[in-house]
Amino acid sequence: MRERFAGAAARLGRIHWPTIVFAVLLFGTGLLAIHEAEVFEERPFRSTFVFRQIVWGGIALVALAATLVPHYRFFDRAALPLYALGVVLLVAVVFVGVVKNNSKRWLDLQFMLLQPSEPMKIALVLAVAHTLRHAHLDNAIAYVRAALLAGIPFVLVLRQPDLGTALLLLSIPVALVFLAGLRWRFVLAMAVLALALAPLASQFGLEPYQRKRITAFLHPDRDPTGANYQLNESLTAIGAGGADGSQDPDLLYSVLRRVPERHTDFVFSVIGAKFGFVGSVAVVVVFALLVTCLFGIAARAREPFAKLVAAGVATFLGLQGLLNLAMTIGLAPITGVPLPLVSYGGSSLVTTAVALGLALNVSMRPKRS
Amino acid sequence: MRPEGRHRLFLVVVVSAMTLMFGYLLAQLVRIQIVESDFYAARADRYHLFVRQAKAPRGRILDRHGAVLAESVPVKNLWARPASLPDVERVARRLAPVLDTDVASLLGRLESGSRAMCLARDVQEADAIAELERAVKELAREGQTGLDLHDDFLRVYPFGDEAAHVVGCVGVDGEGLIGAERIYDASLVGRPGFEQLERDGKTRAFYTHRAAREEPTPGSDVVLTLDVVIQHFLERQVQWAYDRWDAESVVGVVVSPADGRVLALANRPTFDPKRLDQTSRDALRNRAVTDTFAPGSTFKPFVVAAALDAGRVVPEETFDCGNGEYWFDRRLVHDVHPEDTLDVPGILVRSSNIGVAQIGLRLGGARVREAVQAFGFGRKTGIGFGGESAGVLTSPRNWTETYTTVSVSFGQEIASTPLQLALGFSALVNGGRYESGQLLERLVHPDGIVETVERPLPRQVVTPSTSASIRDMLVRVCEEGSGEPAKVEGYRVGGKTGTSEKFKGKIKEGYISSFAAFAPAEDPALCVVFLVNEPKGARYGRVVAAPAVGRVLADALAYLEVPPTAPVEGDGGISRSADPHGDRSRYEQAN
Repeated sequence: MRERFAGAAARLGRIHWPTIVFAVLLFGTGLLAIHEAEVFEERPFRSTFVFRQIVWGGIALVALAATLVPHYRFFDRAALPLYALGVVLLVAVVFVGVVKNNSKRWLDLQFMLLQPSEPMKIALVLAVAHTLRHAHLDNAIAYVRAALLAGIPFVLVLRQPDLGTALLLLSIPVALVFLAGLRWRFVLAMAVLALALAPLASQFGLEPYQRKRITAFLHPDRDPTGANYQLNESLTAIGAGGADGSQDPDLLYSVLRRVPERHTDFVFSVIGAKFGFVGSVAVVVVFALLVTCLFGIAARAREPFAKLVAAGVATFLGLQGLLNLAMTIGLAPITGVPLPLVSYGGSSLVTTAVALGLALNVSMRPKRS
Repeated sequence: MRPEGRHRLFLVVVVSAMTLMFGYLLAQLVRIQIVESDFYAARADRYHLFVRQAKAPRGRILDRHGAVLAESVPVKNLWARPASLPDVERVARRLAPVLDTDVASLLGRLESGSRAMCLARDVQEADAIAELERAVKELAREGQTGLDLHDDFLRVYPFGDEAAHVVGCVGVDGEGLIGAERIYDASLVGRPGFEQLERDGKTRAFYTHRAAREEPTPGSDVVLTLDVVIQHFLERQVQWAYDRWDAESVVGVVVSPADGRVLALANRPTFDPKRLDQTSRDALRNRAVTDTFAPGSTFKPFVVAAALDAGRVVPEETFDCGNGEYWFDRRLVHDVHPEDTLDVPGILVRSSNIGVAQIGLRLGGARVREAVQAFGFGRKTGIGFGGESAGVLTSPRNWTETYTTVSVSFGQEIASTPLQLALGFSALVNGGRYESGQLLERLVHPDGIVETVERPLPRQVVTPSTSASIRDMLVRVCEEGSGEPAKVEGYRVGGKTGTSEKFKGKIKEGYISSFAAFAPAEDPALCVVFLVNEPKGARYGRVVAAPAVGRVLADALAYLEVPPTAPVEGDGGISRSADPHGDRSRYEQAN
């Protein structure tokens, strides 16, 4: 008993603390931003998004701690069942999903709306890592399996429709396949194939609104009031923040109230408006440092599965952050992807916490045993 | 390469790529938040500040003595935004009695799906406004915040369709469409005020030190030369002629000969300025300036005056009038009243085409044309009304003695508007000065400053003595000739009738009966031109137009308190009717 306790304490001592510090900083900034995004609506505290986000923060912390307890090999064994559970939930969305803003992405669990595509990210990281952990350089079968594993949730999520999350899901096996050691000619062949298929996919695989957003992104001046409305309001908020943020609360709120989804997808616009260049750069830098830490954990991991899990987590969190930030300043089409740890949202927060937990779990157990 | 090495290489590539992307993000943030920040800050300011417009009341249109012909009164409009009315049924039940409609139809409108609708327009009475305000406030307290009372102005025309073509009317946005409303639109509109407000996060407006504001400046009052009482006299007679002769149209113009002021101007058909939607375009036409007609015999005095002035004839000279038939070169001309010989006044009294044509020929085409132009024919009067016609005057190139000079002498092959004729006739009888027509007396600006208009100098067309002898001849027309029905008891009236045939191609369409008159002859205070287009049952100006003109003169002379100049004999002419509207005080308002 004492030995087990001492072992746990030793493992906790090896945990990658900078990752936790950066994550907490981002979450705290998120709370401030969510507060600014809604304070002028003068709702009672118990019904604010801030309050709910604090509650979710507690739940996420518990989930993170729970993820640290078992050895990561437990997740290797549980990978395929978890993946199967994730697919079941995604299929359930097709039949009994809740529709919001013309997308069917949620399951109504009475006490919350669960977005299964969020936990699916983790299940997919685990399942692909599991599949590729012993893959030899020329084991084409493993790569095909990985592609299939990603293909099913990709299609399900794309049809919800949720282009951003679907692309993130797709990025996981791509990154892990490369990491597992793919030959460069495969890489080239896949890149060519993807480029060739992109227009076709855009034509047949996307909803009209998604095509419109991509067109609006490629030609920003064509339709300033329609598809680019959200972007313009977001840019106005960020730009008006200036170097050190907006000092006049009435001006700030007049601008913010026009930013759509300002507590979730466009939370970065709030940060830009309230804290200015100083604040937005700080968020970007801390986020980049967090992702770098995760890749560092991957680099130091000894076992292929651990390495792949940490790298997968780092990849999808990093890409998701980049996609969200790029979207708020017009560098990427608008897709409903939250900024991990900062945006309001229970599914996203808990998923991110579990993902960080997996990476931290790896960091705690560096040796082959 | 070993797998371990591949892993490391891959991680380096991925981390570098992501670092590059984060770096690019930071560069973009420098652009947006530092370099272009002012651009976005200006846009944010526009979201934050907004400008509320305050309409300026349009200026009034007044007659020469201050009677209000048009004014803008403040009213309220009730607008509804159903999106902010959580319980439309409650709103409908509360408002229906106030708006004097039934609940069902009000509910239907509120639920029609429009984002905003006007439930009540132009509410004018203080009681009704107070009741609306109470209802709106009460509903707002219950959370039904989607009702707004907006200030607006309503244009009212106290005299209805009287002088409608002169006063004109405004469109739905208050812009002048025709008449004085259009001519003086720029002075009438005023400048709208504004106030700049800031918005808080809930879009509630509030004022701060930053907010600029400016009160609306009302439009200027436009004082016309019109006199509502004389206008009313004219309207009655125009209406009488329109009904009595079942005419196509009737035009009457009263000007002050001494200065060209238009005292009254009436058209039939006419219109109600508040019912434009039920008005044909035809009725909107101000025929006094837009329509031309061949003046016929009414025109003869102009040629006679020009010949007298040039010294080519003397009044006592007699002309061979060929007993009603006379050959000018190879052109045969007839007279209605055949005579052997006539002196110059006789030619006018008997309205001899043959006599006046000989006078015209003696003067010569070029001099006739010159004189006619000097009297203002063939050129727009420039009084300001839209669609004014210049009339028709044959060009020197096409002018022939036998046809043009002869015809113009008795008012054919020339076309004039009624207003041109009235102003020309004024010049004929006022001592020979052509005064350009005047509609605007003065502008009274909101700051009290009075602005009068610079008028062109009068143009001496004929000498005062020529004018005096023409006056005498025209008085004889009214005492012995065709103008006799226009005689007014106690005054010497002069005038000339005219009857012209209307042709459409070669087909005779009907007649235009006209009469131009002035009184008192010694020093004319009034000049009236009256035109009846296509009268039925009669055609001579003597019958159709002269009696109406006589009644206008009788009423107006009495109203103006012009001292009688002629001894009152039995059956001396029309005496002033017992007119209930002749009393000026009815129209005078405290202003």
